[in-house]
Amino acid sequence: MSKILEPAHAGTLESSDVFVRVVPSEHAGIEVELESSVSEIYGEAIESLIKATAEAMEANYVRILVQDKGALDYVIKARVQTAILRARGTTNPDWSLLS
Amino acid sequence: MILRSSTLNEILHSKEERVQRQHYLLERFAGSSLISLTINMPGAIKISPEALAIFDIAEASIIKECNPRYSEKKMTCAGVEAFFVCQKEAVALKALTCKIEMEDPLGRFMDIDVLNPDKEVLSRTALGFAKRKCYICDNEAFVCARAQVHSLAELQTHIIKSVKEHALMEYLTHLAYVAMRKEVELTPKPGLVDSANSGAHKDMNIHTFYRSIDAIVPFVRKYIQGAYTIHYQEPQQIFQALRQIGISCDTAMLRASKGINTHKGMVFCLAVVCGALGVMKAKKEPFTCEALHVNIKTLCAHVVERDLIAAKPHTAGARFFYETGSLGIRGEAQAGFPRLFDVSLPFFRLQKEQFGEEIALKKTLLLLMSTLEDSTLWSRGGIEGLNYVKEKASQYLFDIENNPTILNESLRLFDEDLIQKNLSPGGSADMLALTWLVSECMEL
Repeated sequence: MSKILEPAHAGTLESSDVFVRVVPSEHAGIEVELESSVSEIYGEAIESLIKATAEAMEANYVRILVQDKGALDYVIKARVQTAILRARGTTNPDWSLLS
Repeated sequence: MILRSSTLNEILHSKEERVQRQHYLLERFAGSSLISLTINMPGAIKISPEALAIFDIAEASIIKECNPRYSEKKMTCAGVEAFFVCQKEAVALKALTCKIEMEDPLGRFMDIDVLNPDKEVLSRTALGFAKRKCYICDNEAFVCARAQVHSLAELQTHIIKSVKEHALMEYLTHLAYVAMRKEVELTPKPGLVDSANSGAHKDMNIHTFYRSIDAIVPFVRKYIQGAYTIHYQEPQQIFQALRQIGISCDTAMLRASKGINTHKGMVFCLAVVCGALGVMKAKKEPFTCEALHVNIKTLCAHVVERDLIAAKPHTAGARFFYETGSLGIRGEAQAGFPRLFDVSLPFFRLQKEQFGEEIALKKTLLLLMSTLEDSTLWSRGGIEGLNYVKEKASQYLFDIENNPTILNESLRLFDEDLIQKNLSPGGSADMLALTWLVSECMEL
């Protein structure tokens, strides 16, 4: 499992978007902190989506801080993937892990 | 980029670029606040004619309300966007932009973010404003958008309909403006202000009228929108709401004309006619003379009893009633302007078809003067003055029918005559403008 190298972010705080920051962590695994305008209804679903997306990319030792402004799932997924890729400084990602 | 589908990648990328640009501008204009304008367009097509129409309105409102020191706009894959750098405090700006979002009929489709000098986006709720509602239903927008409750087609249809309705209301407002301009510019007119002289008026000229018209137009928009919004209420409540707008309109008119009554009767007539049009539009009734007549009647039911008999306002129209028993403009309105629909409008249309608009307007004015119980004539010339003008107008109209070449000369002579006798048929002038306006509306 690969570690996050540097803090990075993706997305915006505009409505229907999501702002994702990833920061390296001392602890193993993936820690998600979610703040969402729709958290009462979708909080858990969004959190597990974020976790699943990060796991599929084999992320580890990482904290993912997410401010959601009502983004749809495919937007959240894209923003999380981008943030992790940016944290790794990857310019040539393994596309098979990003489906 | 207009009507082109953007991909998710493009949209997400453009949104990030937008934020970078916001931050760049806040650094370049350090200490300033920033307004970021975008239009909420669901679906892959971010720039449509509707989006551009809404954008233009939002941009104009922001420039007017927030007085930016620098602005820029751009079309991107995420839609059309604009940035406004302002010196005002961010919180004050957020209050102003929330007002635009809430009060403009198309405000719901505007997304106006405000960033403070520290690049923080201010939220509506932090200022005590409610969260935004869904386009379609009464739920919070976030909830419906996230759950995709409404189909894309439904949302797009709603946006197109809203823009078209707004465009129609703007068009009606513009027609009212043109109606007043055409009336005052029609020359020569007996006793009235026109582009040649001030008629039987010493305290106003055509420029007074121009200023007055400009002051009235925003309230015409309010008449239509106001009635449209509350169309389901009791007619009497709608009438009261229109009257409140009318009172503000009167004040604005008097300010613009420096205290001179240029359009008092017209302000009332426009309230009634535009209010009725707003109600009709909301109820999806076709714009026919019959429907407008009925709606005006419904709206003004009992206005004579309530206004003239119960209350006793100190206007020329009220004194006219007490002394002559004639119901004046209120009576006309309560009856649904029968003289307009049965007399002046058919006559105007026929004349316009035969001789063109200008001649039709001039002859219609004479016809109105010959039939109308005009309280403005009465207030200066008494019952003798009123009857004199009615008979004279009738005679001139008869002579002109026999010999059309004398039209302008007759109007000029009549003008001299009324100036000399200090008589001004203001009520007929209002009905003339109204006749033109209704004639145009009925062709929509």
